[in-house]
Amino acid sequence: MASIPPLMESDGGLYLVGDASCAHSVAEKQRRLAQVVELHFEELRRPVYSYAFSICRSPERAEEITQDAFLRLHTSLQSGENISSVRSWVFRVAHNLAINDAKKRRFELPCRMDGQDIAMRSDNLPDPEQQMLREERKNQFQRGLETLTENQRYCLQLRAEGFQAKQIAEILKISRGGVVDTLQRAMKRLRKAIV
Amino acid sequence: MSARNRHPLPEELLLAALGELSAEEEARVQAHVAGCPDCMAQVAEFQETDREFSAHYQLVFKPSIPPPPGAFHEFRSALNAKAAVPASLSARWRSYLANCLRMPRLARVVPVAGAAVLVLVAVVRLSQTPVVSAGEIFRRAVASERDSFSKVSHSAVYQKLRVRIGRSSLTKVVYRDVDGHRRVNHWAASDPNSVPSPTVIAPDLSREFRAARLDWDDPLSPGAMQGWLTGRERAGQAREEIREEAGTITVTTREPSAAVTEAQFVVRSADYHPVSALYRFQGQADDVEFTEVAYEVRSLETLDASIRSELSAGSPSPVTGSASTSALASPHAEAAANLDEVEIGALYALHQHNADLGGETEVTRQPGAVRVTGVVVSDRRKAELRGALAPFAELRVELYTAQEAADRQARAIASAPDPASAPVARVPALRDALAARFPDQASRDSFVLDVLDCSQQALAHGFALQGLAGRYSPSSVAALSPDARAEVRSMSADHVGAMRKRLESLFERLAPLAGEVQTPAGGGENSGSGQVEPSTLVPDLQQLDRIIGRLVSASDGVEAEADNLVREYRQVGARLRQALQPRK
Repeated sequence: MASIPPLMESDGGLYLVGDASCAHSVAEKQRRLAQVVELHFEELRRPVYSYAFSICRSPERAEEITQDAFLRLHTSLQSGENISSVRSWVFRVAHNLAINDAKKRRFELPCRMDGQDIAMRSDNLPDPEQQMLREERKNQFQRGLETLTENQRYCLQLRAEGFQAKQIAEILKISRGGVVDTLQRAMKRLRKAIV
Repeated sequence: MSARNRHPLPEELLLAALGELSAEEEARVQAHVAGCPDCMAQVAEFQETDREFSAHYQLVFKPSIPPPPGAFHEFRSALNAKAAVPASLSARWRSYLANCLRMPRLARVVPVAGAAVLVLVAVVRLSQTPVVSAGEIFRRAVASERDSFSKVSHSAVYQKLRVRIGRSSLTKVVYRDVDGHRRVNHWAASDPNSVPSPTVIAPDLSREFRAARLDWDDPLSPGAMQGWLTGRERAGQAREEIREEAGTITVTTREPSAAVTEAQFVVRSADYHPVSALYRFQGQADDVEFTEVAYEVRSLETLDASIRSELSAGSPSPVTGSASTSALASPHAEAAANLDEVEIGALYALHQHNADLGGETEVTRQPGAVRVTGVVVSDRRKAELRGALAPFAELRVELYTAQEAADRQARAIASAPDPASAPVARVPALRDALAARFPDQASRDSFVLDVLDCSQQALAHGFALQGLAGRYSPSSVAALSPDARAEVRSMSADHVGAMRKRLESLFERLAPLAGEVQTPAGGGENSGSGQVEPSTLVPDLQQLDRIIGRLVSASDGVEAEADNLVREYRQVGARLRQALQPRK
């Protein structure tokens, strides 16, 4: 069983596909591996896509980045890399791909998190007063986020994705202490804007 | 001072708030926090911010981002390509042979047959003679395609193609509803900065294709390839060269004197699936190559809802597999290239000439074509619009001057009431106020005309916006190429801006007569959604236009009516002003 660790490595062993020792042939192992990657893809593609989109601001590129990250996961697992948490791993790869992509385009992308720059929307919210409040809330977040540094924003988003400080540190390749410090500053700044 | 009284660091308080401290640290921090209101408040604040931002991120931000344009279709084929190993080839051969020979009993001896075929192929390659005839290759390709469709109920094809024209290349994603014979194309330039938009390239090329009776819209369909060859064989021009190498079979036809001097089709030898096609045209330096990047047959139900709705509204595609009657015999069956881009391009060109207002022109989508119809005021205007639309070869432009239109439909026009004659006999509701403010007839008339004009212009922009929003839903906008998307957005922003300007000038003119229209509460602050909703806007604009017509031009002349009309005018006006407030 230990001879093919990639098939066994995943978050909490969620995706154990049968007994690995049954995988006799190369083809069978390949098939299993593809299956494992596909399961991860199904589970994680949406959050990864959203995260990549928030950095590169292009649906096409975010899609490519997402797919690329999972294809790289396949390559890594195939080469026997020991991945302790697939989720952090994929986010880290997607983060780097998205950052590189954004850098390649050489201009600073405005951070908008209210979704208003995206398309002609036709939300029909029944209660105008409530809609007004929501709008106002959105704008408050928007203003708050604009005061943050990039790393502060990434930390907050990854935290909102449910990662712990240690995992965020792995994704952003900074120390855990750095993440905690960044997060507490980010939260204090954001707090000022939203209350 | 004991350790208990020392305030923990902000970092420690944050970790406490997020529940990420070790048990020991936790106990120490909690012991302090319990007795320190400041630290307790800080922890609560961290917790609340964390909760609120997470809610914003999950509930507001994430749902607002556009869906992935390709719906991740490429992933599976890319993954399968990575996972493919030589060992699986024999399985493919087996299934191919079983399918091709259609003799299930043979399946048992297939390993032997497979080996025999391999030996045969080796012998054939050594002797440099073709495996089978080109006609046979494409017949098998058609059969193999049909077979792949029969495995999925109500199958749909997702295909991504790279189209290389000389040195530039474009990417096109085609969704095809096999049973419904419908198809949608999405174009994307691989590098938007260096490649001209397909509307510039495609019209010329699609003409070339039509002239040579090739299928531009489905260049890799085995049916089209088969049809092309059959046609040439029938014309006695067949001179094919068949080459087999590295898992592919290449069929090349050359004819230096024809419109297409060289055509090269490549199919996979495993299943005869066409993977690329290359054409050289007479007198054209640039050759055109179509290469398949991804291909997948899946059930129609698994496609994105937006794609499905586009498919049901999309242009019918010719039936493949019987290309000798579709792609070849009937040039009409060849759907025009890239109609989506053409349609937006035409809309945009008309928009830049203000021809999308007041029903002067109309752009409609038909099977295989985009049609522009309209009646314009003068020959000059007609020439101007024709000039603007000239770059789009796929367009059917039908523009008439008013005179021509009248000649064409003399009776229809004659029986219609003269719009100018109707209101004259009636009295404006604001007659007295108008008379007091504009004592002389000429200035009064010019004021009334101005006001009516403003209102109708605003309404025209409303209709234009409604048409645009009806044609391009948010999801279909997200699926467009970046250029096309920018054009759609700039058009809608123009209309909203123009509408606002017209209405403000209208309100200003009418203020002395009918009073001020209330400015929405909150001053310049954006209190609405900031997004314009044409479906509620247009009825309001229509109502406003009606009211204004009665106020300044023709009402029933009842005295008491004027007050009601003025009240209505202010209500509708305020509503419109609110809806059109500029976004901060």
